[in-house]
Amino acid sequence: MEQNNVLSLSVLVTREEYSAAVAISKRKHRRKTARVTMGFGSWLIICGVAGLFFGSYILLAPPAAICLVLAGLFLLCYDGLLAPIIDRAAAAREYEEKEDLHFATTYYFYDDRVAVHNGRFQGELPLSILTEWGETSALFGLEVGRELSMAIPKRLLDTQQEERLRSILEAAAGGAKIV
Amino acid sequence: MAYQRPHKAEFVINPTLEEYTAASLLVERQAGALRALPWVVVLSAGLLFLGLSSFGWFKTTYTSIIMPLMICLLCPFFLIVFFVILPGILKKRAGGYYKTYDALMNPATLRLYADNAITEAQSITLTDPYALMSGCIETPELVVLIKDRERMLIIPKRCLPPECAQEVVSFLRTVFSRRRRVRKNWVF
Repeated sequence: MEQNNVLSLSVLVTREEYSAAVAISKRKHRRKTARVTMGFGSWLIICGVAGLFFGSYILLAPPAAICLVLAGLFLLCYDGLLAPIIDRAAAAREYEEKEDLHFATTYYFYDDRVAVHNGRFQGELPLSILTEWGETSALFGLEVGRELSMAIPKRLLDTQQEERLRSILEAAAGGAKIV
Repeated sequence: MAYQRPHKAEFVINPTLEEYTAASLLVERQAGALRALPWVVVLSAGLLFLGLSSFGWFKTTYTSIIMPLMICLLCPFFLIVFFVILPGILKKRAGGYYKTYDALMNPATLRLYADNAITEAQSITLTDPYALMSGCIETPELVVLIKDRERMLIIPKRCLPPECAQEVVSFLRTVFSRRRRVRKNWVF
């Protein structure tokens, strides 16, 4: 609902939405180290394969070479396969722990600030205080340090509202966006 | 108008960066990345014992001491990671979070009621029922109420009014009797 340039929303996030969003957010954060991990995993696989064929020359026994290959495969597959599963499980646990995610929250987005009202948190924050925000296909995620997490599912927004929210966030907190 | 019981105590809290960092480490030690510290010590001791024991299993040639030596070196490796590197990373992260905390919540007026704590800062009000908090950690300088894995309510004991400091601490000890840990610092 919009009145006088205010975007007002009443939000309740489901566990599945929250888990998916957190997994995607953590993958974005992991982007820098993922390349290092995959590179190290590739190197281990090469060493292991070399050990299997030329083990006698480089003093590497076949069992040790196989361990290197398996370790390399684990690191290679971690970011794409294993980490999302672990992150989703951790996010589901986190959702259960954060009681305020279980209650409906009303947000009033202005051009430069947001008012938040739920059973735990009442107040108004400048959007410039956002430490990070990002969006997935399902929702907008906003963080104010450790003090407040906001998740706004896109199913509650029409196209115009989604665009409006995006433009508000980019104008007021563009530097905090997770790309 | 709903009846609201009078609060038990009201005072201003303004944790410093050092207190915030110390509280963060306490919470990590209780429920976070440093939770496994005792097991790390046991594992390191076990690896050192295994490494030292295995020196005598092999012939004392150069190549045959590599594996026992690597096992022995894992002991200081794990100890350095969990006592130096990881706490250093967590302190740095806490320092970053403190900037947001300081801008949003410092200073704040804390009112302790029978069932909840209400923190009122300049532009926000937080209401935290004790029943939804996972625990309480008390040190000689701080009382830290753990709201969840990331959020905490830090009460520096220096902020308690002298006339009711003991009463407030006793009240919190009673409220969190089953969920309270007493520590000297984040290690012990």
